[in-house]
Parts: sequence; structure tokens; C-alpha cells
Amino acid sequence: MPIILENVDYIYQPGSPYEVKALQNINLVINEGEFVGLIGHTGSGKSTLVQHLNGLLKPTKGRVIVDDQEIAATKKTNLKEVRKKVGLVFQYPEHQLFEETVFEDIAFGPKNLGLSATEIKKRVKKAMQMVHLDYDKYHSLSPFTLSGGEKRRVAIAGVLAMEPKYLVLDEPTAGLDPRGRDEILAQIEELHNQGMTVVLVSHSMDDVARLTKRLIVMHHSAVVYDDETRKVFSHYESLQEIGLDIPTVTKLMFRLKEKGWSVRQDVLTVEEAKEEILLALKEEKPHA
Amino acid sequence: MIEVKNLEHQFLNPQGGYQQALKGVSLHIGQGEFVAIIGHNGSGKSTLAKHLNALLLPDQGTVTIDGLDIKDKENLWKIRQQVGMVFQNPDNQLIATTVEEDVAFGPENLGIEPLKIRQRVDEALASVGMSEYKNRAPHLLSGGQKQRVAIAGVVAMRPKVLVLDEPTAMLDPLGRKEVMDTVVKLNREEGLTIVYITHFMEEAVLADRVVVMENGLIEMDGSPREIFSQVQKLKELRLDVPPMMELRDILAQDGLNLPRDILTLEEMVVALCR
Amino acid sequence: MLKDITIGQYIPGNSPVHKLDPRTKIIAIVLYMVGLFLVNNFAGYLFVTIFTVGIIFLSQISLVTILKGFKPLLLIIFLTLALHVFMTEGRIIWQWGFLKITWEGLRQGIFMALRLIYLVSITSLLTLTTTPIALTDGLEKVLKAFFVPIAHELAMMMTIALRFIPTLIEETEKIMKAQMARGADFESGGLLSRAKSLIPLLVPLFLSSFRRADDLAMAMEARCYRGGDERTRMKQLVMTSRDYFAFVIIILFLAVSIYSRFW
Repeated sequence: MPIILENVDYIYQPGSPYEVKALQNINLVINEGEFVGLIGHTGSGKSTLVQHLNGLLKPTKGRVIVDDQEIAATKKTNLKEVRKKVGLVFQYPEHQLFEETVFEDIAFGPKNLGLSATEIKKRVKKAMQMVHLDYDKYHSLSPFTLSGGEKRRVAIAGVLAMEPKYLVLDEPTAGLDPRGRDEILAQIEELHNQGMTVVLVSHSMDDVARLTKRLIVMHHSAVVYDDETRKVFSHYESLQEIGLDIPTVTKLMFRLKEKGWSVRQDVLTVEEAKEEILLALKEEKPHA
Repeated sequence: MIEVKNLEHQFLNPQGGYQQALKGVSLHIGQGEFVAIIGHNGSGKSTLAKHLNALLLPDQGTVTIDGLDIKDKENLWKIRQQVGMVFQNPDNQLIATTVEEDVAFGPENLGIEPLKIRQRVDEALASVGMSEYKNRAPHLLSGGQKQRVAIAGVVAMRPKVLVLDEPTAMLDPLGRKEVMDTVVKLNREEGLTIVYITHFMEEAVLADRVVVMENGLIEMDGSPREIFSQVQKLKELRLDVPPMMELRDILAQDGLNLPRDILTLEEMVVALCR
Repeated sequence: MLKDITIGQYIPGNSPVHKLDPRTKIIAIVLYMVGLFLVNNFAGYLFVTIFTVGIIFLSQISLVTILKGFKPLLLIIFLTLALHVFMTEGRIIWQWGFLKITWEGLRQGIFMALRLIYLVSITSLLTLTTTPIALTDGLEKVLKAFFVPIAHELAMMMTIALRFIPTLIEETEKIMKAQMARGADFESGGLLSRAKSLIPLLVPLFLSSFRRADDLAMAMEARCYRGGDERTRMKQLVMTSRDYFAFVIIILFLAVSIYSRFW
């Protein structure tokens, strides 16, 4: 069953002079098994939107349906049930670590679900395996002695241990070096391949181009594009107008097309760009 | 301007042992140069940066700034005035409750007379394009604006060198661009020497010179073109490669030879259309 | 919820009270307090009331704004009133079992409550009409004038606290949400379980505060901070004839307060 957002509006501090409309008539369906990217500027409403997916915020108008749980302004929802299904990893998640050992910290979520000790241990082990942290080596260490990338993986494991169906990550690679970033992204891809539904909020066009099949673009509290990633990036000019970039290789294809080359413009990776260029050169060498 | 010779430094790590952060680094940076330093976390970049204004002192080797040895206690405040520093977290380096008071903090510490501080603050805010925000409280600014205020706070001390330690790591693309534009402008127009630490190779590409650090040592040192054309080596170090360089590299593997030093998209277009 | 806290809230304005030097305001408040605690009869309180209302009127700050500041203090004011009304011996007006109201108690209770109310009004008037920077600057200068040895450090601490309160509030909300996403519950349960549920919030908050303190210390050092000794200030405080006039007024106030004891 999917996550459905129906005509969702959200207003911060309604009725006060500081009233801000953060979401405006959002309609979305996130199906099981999808890998969805979410991009947009700071202040475009992305963060407000993801907080609706697990009931941290309730819509001012409209409703959010997570499987069979409905969340609406006036409705009482079993939010624990929703949060069990939708795992949300915030930016810099390592800042929420608080326990004395890695084990205890990852066990925090499962404990809140009221699981038995054996089940908790099983889940912690599994979650650590998912983020490639060796259980025997790490479980008794203090999370605060670990490196930045390791801390972040512990924090992500803390959400995975709740065994969510949907995983929402808000810029999971922010502040990491290229190696740390690649490791985290590879693990997210792996989780998706094992069947997890993933929503990835990112500022990096190259990352969403490489990983996601579907891309949602937000601007001024509204969804402006919701389509296949490839198709979204073909709206080069309108994306530029709202100040968003497209992958450099996609841009290259646009420039080559302008120069009279017959190349596809919905190219997303360096590999695809190579294929297109070689193909175009084989057919005929254009003279521009 | 900056002379680093055989610099070594070690830290106590959280597990209780010693860890060699710098293992003999030598580096010369001339007046007005714009040097980007890239490398992984733990490669020693930040440790090196903190030696440049004597926030850390060498265990072995020497660092001199404009001929002044950083180990000499008498030089301490002169060096800190000449080498300004901007850090990663925009929230943790602004001290005062309004923008202009924060920019005044440095000059006030130098004991400059009030009227001159006023003048310097106004100039510094203008140079980073933040004049209209001078009475704003820092927590109401965006990340990029906060970092520009931090840069103004350093510029108001009239330094010769500006060291920025991953100033854009916590910013969104717009904020990153704001900071980068400001830094480039200060280098080109005011002639400030820049040492810029970053993980983003699209920022490093804009420098005059790129230094790659790995494991406490300088691994590569050259112009952006020289460094980024070594695609295989960068990949071995698991660093990012500019996409056009990478494309050139895999096109070459398939027998299409283009000039080795293609850095930008426009250069690629020109090379392909020839 | 947390955003409702307003510490050191300043309301911009151009009134005579806004324009006073912060040092004048701080010293005047001390003298005002002395006067307030000296008056002890009806005439005295009448005089203080007129004076206080007059100052608030001059400041152009609405009475509603000042009254809002009383919300968290209502309980204390009420307790003060009740304690005095019921516990003072004297001529009995009304009695029921061991509870009795005396004429002296009523008088004493009302006087004490008024004292508290005026005290809070005038001090909140200080923060409402003075920017945080002017306030800390003024405090530093006044403390120095009275040879308090750590005047600069105290003022610096105040500045940093004011700067970081909004940042920490924001951070608290962020951590709270992150823990709620992991199923934490901050709202239900008894007192003990609620206190326990704060640990996942407080530990990260403390850790991040230490991290911030560390970063900030480094940033301050890098900007040549070395204590208050050789430091100059961009904005200089200047006393004008307005301030001298204010001093005359407050000294007159003090004199009348003392004199009122003998009426």
C-alpha cells in the first residue's frame, strides 16, 4: 500500500503575524518499492513535506494516508504505528546520538516499540549489518568515539532498526567527504534493491540523477515537477529559472544539440554521455 | 607569504593513543595566490590550516607567515591579525547579536579607535554584499549569508591571508555559490591570499592551484588542470573528478582522443566540435 | 511552543526612555528599587504608582505588552498576597476556622504585591526599551565603575547567551523531532517516565552545546580575542543632557519616597 498525500496545505503559526504557508495543495502518491528523489531550495517546503510523511507535522488542510492510517488536522491517529512504517532520517542524524554504546543507541527505537529483548538484539544486529558496521567490533563502543561517517551510519541504523517499510532521508550525505558520501549512497541503493521504498532529499543533482527513477521538484511550497528523473531534467530552462541546476553531462548534451549534433538530451550519467557522443560521431561527423 | 617546512603534528585520539595528523608537510604559498586544499576527512587539511594562524603549534618543523615564526609568542596577535580564519559551521562563529556588532568584534579586539572601526565595518560588509543586513540578528540569516558575515568579520581585521576551512560544507548550492563568489572577488579585486579547504571539486577548479592531501602528507600539487586531468590517480584516492574530465577519460578509453586538459563544459563542446 | 519564550525582547522606538543611555537606565532602576522598598504608607504608594505609570506612558510601550510579562509570575504574586493577607496578626475583618483576614494583612499583602508588580514592570521596561547590545555594554560599564573585577566577562557571557538562545531553541526542536521519529514520546506518562524521556533530548543538546562552545572559543581566539583589557568598542556610550535630567528626576523620586515615610 502506498503513502498518499491529498490536497495537503500546511501553515506555520496560523492566525499570527508570522503566518507562513509552507505547503500548498500537495498531491502525491509514493508507491511501495519506489526510489524517489526530492529536490528544491532551502525554504521550498521540502523539509515540511517530509515531516508529513511520518506524522511529525499534521496537515492544516487535506490528509496524508500511510497504508491504512489517515493523518488529518482533526483526526486522532496512532502516530506510533505511522512512525513504525515510515523511518525518517534527519540531516546530520549523528547529532541525536545519546546512549553510552552503539548497541543501546540503535536499540532506542525498537525499545520504544515495546519489543522483547531477543527481538531487539536481532534487529540491532540486522540494522548494523545493513549499514556495514561489524556487530562484534562496534556494538559495545561509545558512539562518540567513532568517526563522522561511522556515527552517521549508527544513526541511520537507529532508524532502520524500527524496520520501516518506507525510508525517508533528508540530505544523508551533507558534510561528508567524497568517500563517506559514496559509502552511504551505495548502502541506500543496496537497501532499495532489497525492497525498501526510499525517498531521498538531496541538493546534489548528480546523486539524484544516478540513483532515482522518479524525481519530485518543489518550489515556493508547491510541487512543480513529479515525473521520471530523466524527463524532469529535460526541462533545463524552467529548472534554471527557479535556480536549480541539472547534471553537467545533461547540460553538455543540450549544448551539443545547439551545435547541431543529433544526440538525446535525457542523458544522466557520464557513461550514457559517452555512448551518445560515440554514436553521434559514428553516424556522421557534424560540422558546426 | 606562507612558508611551511617539514611540519609534523600529532593528536591524542578518542581511543587514547596518538595519531599523526601531519607527517612532514612542506608548502610555499605566495602573495595573492588562491590555493585550494582537497583531501578526505582525517587527511590533515584542517590541522594544517589551524597552524597558519597559530591556533595549533608545530610538534616538528616550522611555519612562518610573512617572515614571522608562529612559534614565537610575541608574534601571536600579529599573525592572527594577518591570517584570518573562517570555519565550517556558520552558527558557531558569530558572536554578537547583530551583524555589524559581529563584524566589529575583530577590530575591537585589536584596540582600534571607534570611528575607524565604524569605517572598516562598513567597508567589510560592502565587500561581501551584506550592508543592508547590518542590523539583522545572525539567527535570521541564511547559511550563505552567515558565512559572508563571518568573512566580513575577518576582512575588517585587514588580513593578508584568508584561510577558509570547509566554509561551504554545511550550505545549500545557493549558499555555496554566494560564498565562492565572495572569495573569488576578494582574491581578484582586493588581492587577498586565499587558502581554501573544500570537498567540492567544482570549487577547487576555480583556484589558481590545487593541493591534494592524503594521510598527513601532500600527495599532489599543481594547477587545477594538471591535478584533475589525472583521473585514475584521483579515483584511486577516491576523490571526485570533474565530470568533463571523467568523460574525456572514458572517451579516450574507447579510442576518441581529446586534449588532456579539458576542464569545463565549454572546453568539451569546443573540443568535440573541432 | 518554545518560540513563545522572549528573553531580552526589545521593541524599537523613539521615546525619551528609549533614548536614554543604558547606564542611566541601569543606575536609575537601582535607585527606583530603593525608593520602592522605602515607601510604606498609602500616600507613598500613590506617589510611586503615579510615577511608574508616568514612566511607562513616556516609554510609549503599550500596557498590554508589559502585562504579558506577568504571566509566568502570577502565581508568585498571588502567593505573596495570600500569605500576607492570611498570616498577619491584627484587627480581624473576617474569620472562618483558623483562616482569618486582618486589616493589617490586607494592607501589607496589597503593598507587597504592588511592589512586585512595579518591580517587574520597570525591569521589563528596561529590556523592552534597550537593545541587548546597549544593555550588556551599559552593564559592563556600570559594573566596572563600581570596581566589579569580572565586569567584562559577565557582559560577554550575557552577549553570547543572548546570541545563542534562538539557536538552541531551534536545535531543541530538531532533536525532539528526530527522537520522536524513532518512537520517543515526550508527552504521556507519569512524572518519572516523563523526566526519563528527556534524556534522549538533553544528552544530545548538552553535547552540541559543548561542541558549539568549543567552536566559538576557537573562532573568538582566531579573531584576536584576549579578554577585555585592550579592547575598544565601535559604539561608544555618550551621556547627554537628557541623561542628567533623568538623574535629577530619579533622585527627586528617591527623596520624595523617603519623605513619604513621615507623612
